[in-house]
Amino acid sequence: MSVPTTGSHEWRALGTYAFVATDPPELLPAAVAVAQRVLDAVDRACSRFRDDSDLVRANARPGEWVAVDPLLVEATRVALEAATVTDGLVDPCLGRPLAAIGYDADLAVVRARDPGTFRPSVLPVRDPDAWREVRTDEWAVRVPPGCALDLGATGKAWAADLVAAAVVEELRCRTVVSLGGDVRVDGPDRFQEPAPWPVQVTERPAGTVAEQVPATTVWLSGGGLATSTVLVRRWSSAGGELHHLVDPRSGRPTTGPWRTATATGATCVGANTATTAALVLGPDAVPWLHEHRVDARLVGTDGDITHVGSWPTSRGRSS
Amino acid sequence: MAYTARTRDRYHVLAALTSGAFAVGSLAAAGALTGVAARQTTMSEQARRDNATAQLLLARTEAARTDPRPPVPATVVILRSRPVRTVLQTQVLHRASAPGTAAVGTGGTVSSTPSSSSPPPAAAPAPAAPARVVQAAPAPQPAAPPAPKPAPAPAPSSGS
Repeated sequence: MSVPTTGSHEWRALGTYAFVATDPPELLPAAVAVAQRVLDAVDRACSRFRDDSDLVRANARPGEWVAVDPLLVEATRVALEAATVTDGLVDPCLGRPLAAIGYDADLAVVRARDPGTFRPSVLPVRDPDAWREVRTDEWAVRVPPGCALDLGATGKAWAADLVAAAVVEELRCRTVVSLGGDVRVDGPDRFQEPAPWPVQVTERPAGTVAEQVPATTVWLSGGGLATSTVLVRRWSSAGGELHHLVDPRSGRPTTGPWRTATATGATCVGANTATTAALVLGPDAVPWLHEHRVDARLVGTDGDITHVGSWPTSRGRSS
Repeated sequence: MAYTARTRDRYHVLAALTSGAFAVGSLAAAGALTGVAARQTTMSEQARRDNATAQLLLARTEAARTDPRPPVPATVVILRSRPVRTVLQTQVLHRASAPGTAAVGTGGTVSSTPSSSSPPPAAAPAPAAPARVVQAAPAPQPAAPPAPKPAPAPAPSSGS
């Protein structure tokens, strides 16, 4: 793959797009190489859709300790921390509910199915606190019986943090990493006041469909920024359209009133934890974000925009 | 009866046969006694083990009856089926996964303009008195300031 020595580079990874830029731009090819190496390792350890992944092996033996790559151990620990700080709103034990609504393979495979023949199965009553029983060791994880791990809520954002940390460690340069909208700005000067990077916030990846809400550009000086939406990972079934963002309290896809949430955080996974919790909370999202001092931008199902905290307001209403 | 060479040979044969019969009988008796003793020992050992097993089962049954907690499964680690490849330094992994990584809240300062929030650099102090400058030649023109650095390509943050 030919990587330009200026600007930025974008490619496909983890079922979505990956974007990397560096300052100075001459280090871009080396940074892309680091990113591809890290993302390949994360995919082999944490993918729910690869038969040879460590996550699939661990899910296949609930109730047993399974030796896995330390990457999966750390990804699981971070996911459990997200569950803890949100009291289970961001739940890593949604593998079975997601499979029950049809999201049991790569999205392209799910969409290729005949929607007339697929109907979501009735999910047996699940323990909403099952995530509290997930155990990790230095080289092993234990998935509780009746549960399957899915790290989709935090894995991509954590991977963005990980790629940025690896680039900074190996190349000692500033970098911005975006994995499917989960952005991390990092650099060796992170304790100073670095120049901010522009980030374009949209509801869908560029070039997919026309935006209904105008894109907005904000400047991020460091840390993380994440966008979660129910508009993109969608598929059809005999019972209607479904999406991937599941409310752990019901085991079914969330129903609004928000369709897209963007938020900042000290890390990308922190920002993504806030956006996922906001979409799950629905009408209770705004007070929750205020309580946790999160700067956020919410897009309602009707297209109205609400700003929370110190999110820069050029249009829309502030809450 | 005269003691002849023939008689002597008969006695020799008889003595040899008698000694052989005694030897065989002794060996058989010793073997039989040893077998009986070994069987008794085995039975005794088996009985002891059976008794111990029964005691253990009884104790477990009693413990399960009185302890409401579910039995704790033994920790059996399923070994990985593929070799480990290290692609990340430990400090990188720990830095991206340190406690507090998933905390929500402040951080990731965002603004609508590219201006940094850091204060501008302090101005140089003014001299106490203007220095007298004698120009012997035209002062060199300051070099043109470098072109402003172009803004980097915006990183996309879209739902995915």
